[in-house]
Amino acid sequence: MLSLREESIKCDGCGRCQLACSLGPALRVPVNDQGIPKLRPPLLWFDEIEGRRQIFVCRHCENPICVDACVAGALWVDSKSGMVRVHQNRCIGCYSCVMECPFGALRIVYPVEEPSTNGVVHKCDGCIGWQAPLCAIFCPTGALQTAKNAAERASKRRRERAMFVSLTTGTVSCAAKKHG
Amino acid sequence: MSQKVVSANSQLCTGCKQCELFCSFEHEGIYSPRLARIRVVKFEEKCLSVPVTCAYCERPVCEEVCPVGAMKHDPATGAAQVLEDLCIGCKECVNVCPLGAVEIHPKKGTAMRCDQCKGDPACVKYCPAGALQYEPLAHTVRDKRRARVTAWSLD
Amino acid sequence: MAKYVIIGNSAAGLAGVKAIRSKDPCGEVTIISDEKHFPYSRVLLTNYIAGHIEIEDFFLEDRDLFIRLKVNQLLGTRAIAIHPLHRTVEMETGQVITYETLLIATGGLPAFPINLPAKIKGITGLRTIEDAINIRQQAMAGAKVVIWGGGLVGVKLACALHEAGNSPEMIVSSPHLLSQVADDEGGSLVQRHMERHGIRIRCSADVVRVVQDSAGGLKSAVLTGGEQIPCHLLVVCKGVRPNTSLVDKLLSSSGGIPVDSRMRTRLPNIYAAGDVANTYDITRQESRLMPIWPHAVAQGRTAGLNMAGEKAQYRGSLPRNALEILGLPFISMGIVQAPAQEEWEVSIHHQGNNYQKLVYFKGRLVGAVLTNRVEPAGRLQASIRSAAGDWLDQYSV
Repeated sequence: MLSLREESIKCDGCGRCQLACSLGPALRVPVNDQGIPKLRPPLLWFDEIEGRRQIFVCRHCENPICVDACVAGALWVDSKSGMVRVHQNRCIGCYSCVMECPFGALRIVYPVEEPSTNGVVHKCDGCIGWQAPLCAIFCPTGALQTAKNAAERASKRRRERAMFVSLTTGTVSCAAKKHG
Repeated sequence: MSQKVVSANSQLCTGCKQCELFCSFEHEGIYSPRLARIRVVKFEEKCLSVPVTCAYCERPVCEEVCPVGAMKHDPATGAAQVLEDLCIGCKECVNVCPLGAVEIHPKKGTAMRCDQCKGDPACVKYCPAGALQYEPLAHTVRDKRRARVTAWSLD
Repeated sequence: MAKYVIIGNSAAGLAGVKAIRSKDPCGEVTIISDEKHFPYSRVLLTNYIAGHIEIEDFFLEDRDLFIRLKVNQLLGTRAIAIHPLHRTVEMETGQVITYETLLIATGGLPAFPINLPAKIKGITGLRTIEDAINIRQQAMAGAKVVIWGGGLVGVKLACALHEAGNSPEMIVSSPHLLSQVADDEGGSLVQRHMERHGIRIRCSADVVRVVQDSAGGLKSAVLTGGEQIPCHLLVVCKGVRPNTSLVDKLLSSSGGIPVDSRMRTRLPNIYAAGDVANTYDITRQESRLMPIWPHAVAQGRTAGLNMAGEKAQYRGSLPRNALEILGLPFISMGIVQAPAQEEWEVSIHHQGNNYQKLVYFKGRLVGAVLTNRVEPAGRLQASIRSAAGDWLDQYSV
């Protein structure tokens, strides 16, 4: 259950997340036969909406509607990691999932070398092998944050809340007094 | 402000976690603290336990961020609910709630949040220490004021 | 042990089976279909005709799925009647199957206009694997193909044939393409894009009769104006009609089987889902047929959960379509054509191939048409859904 939190208001558009994403989980620049570096397309995007920058990245929903909408059986949920993944060789680029995702986290990318061929869907693959997605690790402003899972974040928040409640009602001092 | 809330008095809470068990039983039919909408946070070193649940915000952020409109509340009573048929389990609400009062159901993958058991909260009914109260917001405020004054008079 | 019977093994039927199994691991599940194939995706048929994929790629799951889920398969045999009093399904082989809960997910059939003589060699619809194989074979052999109908299937088929090297001709009765799902401007934009690629489209025309050659094959189609178009294959893409032949005597279901929010029909313990079910449209606020894939999956799942004893609700349909037309993405959803009344507002941004139209009713978003830049589609859909608000109360059979 990956949990990625996006706070676009903090984003200053440095693009490190996209770069880290393009490098891929190996964090290496792949080089082709002629020695020309060839990055893969990033799996998250920026856009300006009503004057505000926004990051589009997959939330890896528990009941993903993109998977329901996929007519080719290309999108699937990896039950081990809980992530929504793509069989890119099955994708026919029909835009059904693009139409469903309320986060705009799926895009059809046409290969640069052969623009005439069918595009296939690109989406966050959750950086298999890493504890946290690389975009969040590389984000310097905290616009992308990660927790090991959502439950952990909730439990941390609850602790903060409980501490706050006890402080504001003076319970800590009270209880401390009671128990010496 | 006739809106009723579940309010917790951490001074009376013994940390027995009965509220978690009964909440889970009321909503899911099994006794599993993991499925509870109320959680007891313990600070063992301070001999303190605080039950935490939804605060029934006036402008709930969880509802604002929900992309599919699955989080709803009744403005008259304040009682919240999650429309499980709509919820896609994107965890936005979990990430945004400042109280950690929303969790994801580990089996169904949908959001869980306190719905005040439609007006008769099980956690309050079964709290053996009387630490949980289901009362209008105004009463909670009054009680807090009194508690504050009592704490001062102890000093 | 509960006995579940599912008639139909496409999107809705398969989603229903999976939902039942997720709740009830031991109940007896039987799936019936007159097609002998394993569940496959009808949406991919045009991709097969275009030559992008092969037949093996149609199938949605691995072939041992039904064995793994312990589902009795009766594929390739047709159910001919349902007897709700005895709770049985009668098969064409004479076999009688009892059920405790029944899901009708029989889907749709291509709608054939009545003026066409039935069963002429060379006139076909596009709905099954057999249809697709037939069209592809003839197209590869260089047959002249005429597509009658400018809906989604017609457009996709024309593009597929074009990509396969055939030069099809389209006959569209409306003044522009995609008249059911797109507005005038969006439809004509798609049409111009297709015409630029060399696909011939005749608008405001209809086939009135066909001419056969001496061998009984198709020779030409005669249009409204009397013009004759020579063709070897006439593919009728005039939409789908619900396949309600099983329940026609039991329910007045000419426009699909009416269902409530839990996908129950008026008959006890009988559920319906998919293209055959008449569900609530949240933008038009009325019940109607919306035969699209994501609806079928969601409805099938809801029906399956309810059959297994859960209380799941289907929260209404939002008609929507996504298409890729020779490199041009096109997405439409909700109400696309606003009536000229005061409460309706429309905002249009049009620049080259980028077209975006948003339709508002009383200030809330009810529809959108997008081409080329379609990334906002998901968010627009979410806002249409949340603006639709609470309507579940008015939703019953």
